[in-house]
Amino acid sequence: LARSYRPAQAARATGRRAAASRAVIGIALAAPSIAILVGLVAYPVVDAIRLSFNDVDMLTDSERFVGLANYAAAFHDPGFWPILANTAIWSAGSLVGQFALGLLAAIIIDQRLPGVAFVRSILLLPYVVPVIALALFWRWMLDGTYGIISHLLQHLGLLAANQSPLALPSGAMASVIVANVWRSFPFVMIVYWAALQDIPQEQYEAAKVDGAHALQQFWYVTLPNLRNATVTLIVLRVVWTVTYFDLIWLVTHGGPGGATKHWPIWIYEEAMGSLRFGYAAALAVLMGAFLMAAAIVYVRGTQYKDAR
Amino acid sequence: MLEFDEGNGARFPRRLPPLNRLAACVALAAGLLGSAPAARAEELELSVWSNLTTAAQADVIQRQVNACLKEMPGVSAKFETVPFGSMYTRLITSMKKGDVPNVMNTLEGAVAYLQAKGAVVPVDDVIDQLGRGDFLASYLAAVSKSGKVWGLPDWALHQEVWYRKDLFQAAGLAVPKSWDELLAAANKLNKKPDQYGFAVPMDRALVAPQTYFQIFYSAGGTIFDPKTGEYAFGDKRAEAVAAMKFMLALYKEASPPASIEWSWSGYREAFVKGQVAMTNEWGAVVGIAQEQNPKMLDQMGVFAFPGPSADKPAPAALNGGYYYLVGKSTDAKVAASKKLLLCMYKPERVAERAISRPIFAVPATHSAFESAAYQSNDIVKRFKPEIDYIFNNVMSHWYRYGMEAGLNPLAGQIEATTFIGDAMQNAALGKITAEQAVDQIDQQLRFQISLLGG
Repeated sequence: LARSYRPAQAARATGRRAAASRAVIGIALAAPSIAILVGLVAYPVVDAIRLSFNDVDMLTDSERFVGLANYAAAFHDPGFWPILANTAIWSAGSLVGQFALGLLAAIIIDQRLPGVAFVRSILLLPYVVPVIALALFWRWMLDGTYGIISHLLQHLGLLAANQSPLALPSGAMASVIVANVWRSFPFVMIVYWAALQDIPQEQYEAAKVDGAHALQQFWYVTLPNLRNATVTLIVLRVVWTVTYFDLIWLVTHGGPGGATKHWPIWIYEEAMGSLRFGYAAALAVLMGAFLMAAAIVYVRGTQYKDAR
Repeated sequence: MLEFDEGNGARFPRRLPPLNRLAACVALAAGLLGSAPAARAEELELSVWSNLTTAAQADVIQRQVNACLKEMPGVSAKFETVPFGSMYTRLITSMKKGDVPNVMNTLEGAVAYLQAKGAVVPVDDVIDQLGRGDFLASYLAAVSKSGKVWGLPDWALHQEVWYRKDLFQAAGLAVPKSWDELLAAANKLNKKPDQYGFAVPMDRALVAPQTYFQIFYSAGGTIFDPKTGEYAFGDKRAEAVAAMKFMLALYKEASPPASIEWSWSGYREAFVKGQVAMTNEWGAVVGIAQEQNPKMLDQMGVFAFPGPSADKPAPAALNGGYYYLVGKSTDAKVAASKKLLLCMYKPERVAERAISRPIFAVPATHSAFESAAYQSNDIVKRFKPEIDYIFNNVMSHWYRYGMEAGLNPLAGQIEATTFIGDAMQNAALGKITAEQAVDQIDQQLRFQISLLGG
């Protein structure tokens, strides 16, 4: 018995040592990522939440606890509703455009046609162009005197002579939405393209046998198969679009008259303009909380629907 | 523990176990790091920042810093251009680190901000050594507070009206002496849509306040009372509303509609390419005309922005300047910084910095302005009447917004925020009246002052 026990005990001990060793290696390998996440994500988030309950005076470097005063001030700010409306218009317009154009482009590049690989590369270009170049490019095309788009709109009688869409509140918002759609649709396109390639051809063949025409095949076969990709895309694109600052700031600076000032520009102006870091932190926390709540509700809602 | 081989210095003995090798590495690195301060003990490194990102200007400053450092053994400098757009962010982070630049070349707004933070030292001693009377008094006044001067004036940002001499002559127009004459001249020069009389740019960041305050100052308004330092914008509501109404009239009658969102490049290129006949400007149009339309150079003239009535010239313009300030640091670094500036303020060096962007930059010292180095520059010679006019008439009476009574960090807040631009643009779009726009500006100015503890 003793002889048979010893090898089993030794084997278990060896197994424990191996498991412990694997755990140590695992922790060691994960440690750099954890350290980076804690340092660059967790700490700033926690500090932003802390700051949002303080009045920070950058001139004297002093902080004063003010409780929920910054949050109350945000809701009572005369800019709250106009900025919220701008954020909603910017986000909804951008998302609808990105998804419509992205899906259309994905269907096109999914076809087995000559030259489609080249088209695919061209369609990806907007996503890889640096945003500063893209902003200058759009500003140039929308210039009231020399811009090709403004010139066309003036020629069609939709704009006054030497007028630019960027100088009109509705025109400026429409312009930045179009620029954002152009910038961001390739991401949607690539995700949808990958999902399209996973759809079994048998489903289309069965639909054809049942007499479904192209539109019905799209509606009853393609769209249901894109559901999972769409759920993921919506969460990602909503978060990225609502928080997208660079493009809109570089094209309009939030103007004219605040017509394109959305939530991230508000945060930026309070922090870097008025140096109200506590107030800006409260605005950032509100935006983060709203996005997190929206994502949770949306994903839970989708899961509930799936379960039913 | 370490073995040595000839020519290659230290190497690890093959027998050393891995952990010991690691320990030896750490020890070696620590030894090397530990010895570094000793080797550099006598070296003093100054950080030198400039907001001037234009290569022609930044290169001259860097070259001069390097030349002066050759006369200062044991002192080196790390030169960095910091764009205006990110300057306040950089200053905040540098102050948090306790690492304010030793020497900084910047606008009054940053001087005021750093002075309010107690991050700079007065430079009166440097000014006295160079000769206080050599500096234009208006530029010293702009950076004075508590009886001390906090920045060395380098060159002037000057704002006046640049106009097309050929178009004025063809239309039989004289230089306008009042707002009404200016508006009438602008209307007479209108040939829409090919040519507009006067550009009124209103980009909400930076440009809008420059446009509005030029007119507001010409009407005799100020944000603070220059004598008492008390907030005065509310008391000057009549002037503020009149200035806003005049600006809106000029925009609606004589400016391209898209100028509501024009920044500097928009109105400058419009002037240089002949789309507008007049524009309120800092003189950068000369450099742009050289690059884009040299024929225009012969047609360009200047006059000071007029006041509301012809019997009284505008009491002040919106100007500004570039200054060198000295950051608070160790005594040795402050002394080295001041020595560096004394070297950089030789008249020919001040002149060289100004002609790195001629006309746009006009020296803020008499000696540099009169020096052969400045006066012999081709562009300066070509625009001598205009430059003399600017030096004698525009650079003597001016304010920077919020600094009418001396240094005030409100100037930085105005530069970093957009509330003035929003009010102007909304008034120009017809969403609010001129009175409402002025009231919004008044309310926001008071709010910003309260944030600054005023």
